[in-house]
Amino acid sequence: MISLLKFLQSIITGKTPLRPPGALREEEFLKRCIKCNKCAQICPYFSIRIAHVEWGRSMGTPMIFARDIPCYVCMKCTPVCPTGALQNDVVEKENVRMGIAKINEEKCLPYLDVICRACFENCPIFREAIILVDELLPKVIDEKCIGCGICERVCPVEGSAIIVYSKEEITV
Amino acid sequence: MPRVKRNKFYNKLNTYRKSVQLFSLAFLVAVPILVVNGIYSIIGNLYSITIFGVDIVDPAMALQTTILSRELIEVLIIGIILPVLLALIFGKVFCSWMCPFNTISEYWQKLTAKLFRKRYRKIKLQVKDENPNPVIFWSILISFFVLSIILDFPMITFLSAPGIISSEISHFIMGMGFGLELLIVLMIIFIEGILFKRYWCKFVCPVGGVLSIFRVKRTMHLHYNSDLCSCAARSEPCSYSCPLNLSPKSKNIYPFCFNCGECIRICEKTGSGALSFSFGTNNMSYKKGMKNSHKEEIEFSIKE
Repeated sequence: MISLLKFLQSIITGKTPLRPPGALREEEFLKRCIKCNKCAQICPYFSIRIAHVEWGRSMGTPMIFARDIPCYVCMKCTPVCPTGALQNDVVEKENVRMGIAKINEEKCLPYLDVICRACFENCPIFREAIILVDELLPKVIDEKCIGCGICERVCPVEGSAIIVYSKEEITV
Repeated sequence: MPRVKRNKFYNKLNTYRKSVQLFSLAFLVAVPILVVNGIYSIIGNLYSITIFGVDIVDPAMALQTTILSRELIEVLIIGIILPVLLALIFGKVFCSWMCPFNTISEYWQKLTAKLFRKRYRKIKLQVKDENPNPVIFWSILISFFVLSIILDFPMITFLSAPGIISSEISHFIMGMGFGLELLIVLMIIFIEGILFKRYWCKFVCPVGGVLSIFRVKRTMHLHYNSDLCSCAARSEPCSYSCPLNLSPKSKNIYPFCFNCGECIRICEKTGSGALSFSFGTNNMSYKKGMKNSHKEEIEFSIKE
């Protein structure tokens, strides 16, 4: 039932889920994934959740809900994937491209004159993916952002002022 | 092998089968419990499992992935070796010995038969006397794969009852709750309970379907020796005992039969011993006069 609510939520927000690190593009990924759940089982942070049948053809595939538990890019999931739906050769966390974080400047505290460095300080690609403009305003460098969602998790604003959009949503 | 020994062998075989069934159910529960406690030597579910670094992939899922992605993936090919070898030697024993759905279904069938004795007989649509035509079996299997190509949709995932059950067990233990896909399994069981006795394992299941592709003449199969059969034509303990409602005496029990050995056990009890497992290729024993020489051959193959 909880997963059903999540699904309805995803319709309302129009958000497609994040895939674990090293995932192929959505279409390819759905064809390749054999739903063995190994990535979800090996994930030490329980970040990777498994989609239930309400997700339609994505049933059984791994997903990450960054606001609940983001990916901490430990890269344990990619080697266990038997089909290469999660590409086994992505071992460096810098090469991961799960999505790209976008800052909502209307909600983000520094843009509202409140000092906050939560996302900047927690970013695993420290000082590269999120930089501070004028030592104050956070800015995402799209080329460096890996889309792990840690920034989305730590953002103190309700509903998060920084949201990671999956690769699919960015290209649309 | 003397008669008593034979009798014991098939009796034991059935006990083993039942304990392996329960063991594999327990195994499916144990894997996520170990994983939650940080032991990652066995991970996966019945779609694909890694046991101490050895990958095992469900051949149906491997076939689906290959067809949909139009690529040969090494790991999948390596992964299906073990299940395919098992199927080539012993037939669809995965279904009868390991599949959690079959285990549940077998016990469910026994329960409903006891509970709703009268109604059960009335409603159930079942053909008693003849084995169905294998063409039905193959056309259902092929249509699944054709449909998944046309719709570009991984259908086998949704139809693999063992896969769904095992992954649901793992979700539940890992604290993700049950998903609605469990309804698929419940629906299959429900329809089995009120309409068609064991239709799923018999006709539809794509997992068993793909496993039964791997069948050669030397694969372990049921052998019927008409000379030894002492039952009257009408009363057939073997076909009544068959969980899939097949009649072991007639032709075309393959690709439906999954070699559970229930009919053989019953046959041994009646004392005639006309049914047995065999790896042999010749059917000479159907002719009179060859009885004894063939009997030795069967016994030899059992010993092996």
